Amino acid sequence: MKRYNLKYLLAILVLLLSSAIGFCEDESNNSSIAVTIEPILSFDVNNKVIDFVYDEYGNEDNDVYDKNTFSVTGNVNWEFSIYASANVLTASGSTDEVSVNSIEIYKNDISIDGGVIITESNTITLSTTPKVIIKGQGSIPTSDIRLRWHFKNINDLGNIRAGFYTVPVIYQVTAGTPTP
Amino acid sequence: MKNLLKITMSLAMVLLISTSVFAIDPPTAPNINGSVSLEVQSFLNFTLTNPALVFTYNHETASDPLTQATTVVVGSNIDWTASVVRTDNPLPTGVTLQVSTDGTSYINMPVINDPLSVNGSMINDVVFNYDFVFTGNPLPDTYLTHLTYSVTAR
Repeated sequence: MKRYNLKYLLAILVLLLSSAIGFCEDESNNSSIAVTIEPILSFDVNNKVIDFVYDEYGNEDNDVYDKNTFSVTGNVNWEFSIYASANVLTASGSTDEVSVNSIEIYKNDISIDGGVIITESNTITLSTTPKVIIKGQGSIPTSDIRLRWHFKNINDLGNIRAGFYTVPVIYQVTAGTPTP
Repeated sequence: MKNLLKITMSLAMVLLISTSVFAIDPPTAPNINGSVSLEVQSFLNFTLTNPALVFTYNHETASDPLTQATTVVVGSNIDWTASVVRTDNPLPTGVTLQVSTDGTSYINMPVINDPLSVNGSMINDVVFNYDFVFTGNPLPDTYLTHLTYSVTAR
């Protein structure tokens, strides 16, 4: 065993010496600098509260549409989704309910300055399940993507008791799968 | 050789641990809460079906004319009160106008400007049934009494 160890030591010494001689002859150094870029992802939504108005006397004045915009700050792939916290819109003092399925969302007026849109859905119907409307990459500046909200059958609301119906919704951006 | 194997194994473990410690987790962005609201504004309208009733009484046969009805058809998404009020009373003695809202229990039509009211809600109908009661010997003529209907929010 001692012979083997001695042999190994000698071999290592020879290697070190030859390396040192080599460096001396070249008068150069090899080095490396490592930088780690942490992934980041955040987003914001403008006009978080979407309003519709139904007026029996003025169908043309009914607010069937509303809009909002969102921006993403990130350096990864991401998926933007929206969902409701309940199946129906409810109003205090009324037992009537309005299904969230009456509400459609689709992208509108996309003009990208920074990031990349990977895929996009034409339309999603609001539900309690998060549905991805846009998949993107990197940062998307404010107002580049407008979402258009549409109340599909607002003129069928004549049987709904007058009131202010509401349902919470959640905007969600999650890190998406890498681009193939 | 055994030592070499041990060293190699240790290095491998260190590399594995380092990899797991320094692995970059996917970033998460906090959800943003919002809401969707729908304001359903109130509306209230109504129409009358068969608003002009004509009763004929034959004194010789003393036949009691059949009841007739006027229906108030209400379109609304709130609670309301439908009323009918008599604005004049040209009927002679012995001719009494009666009214019923359930088709069975008739009462004398209230006096002038004293409304008879029925509560309802949403889209609904109110049927005002009318009947005449003849007593005595009224003079032959055509008597016209005016009724005014209204529906108000309550």
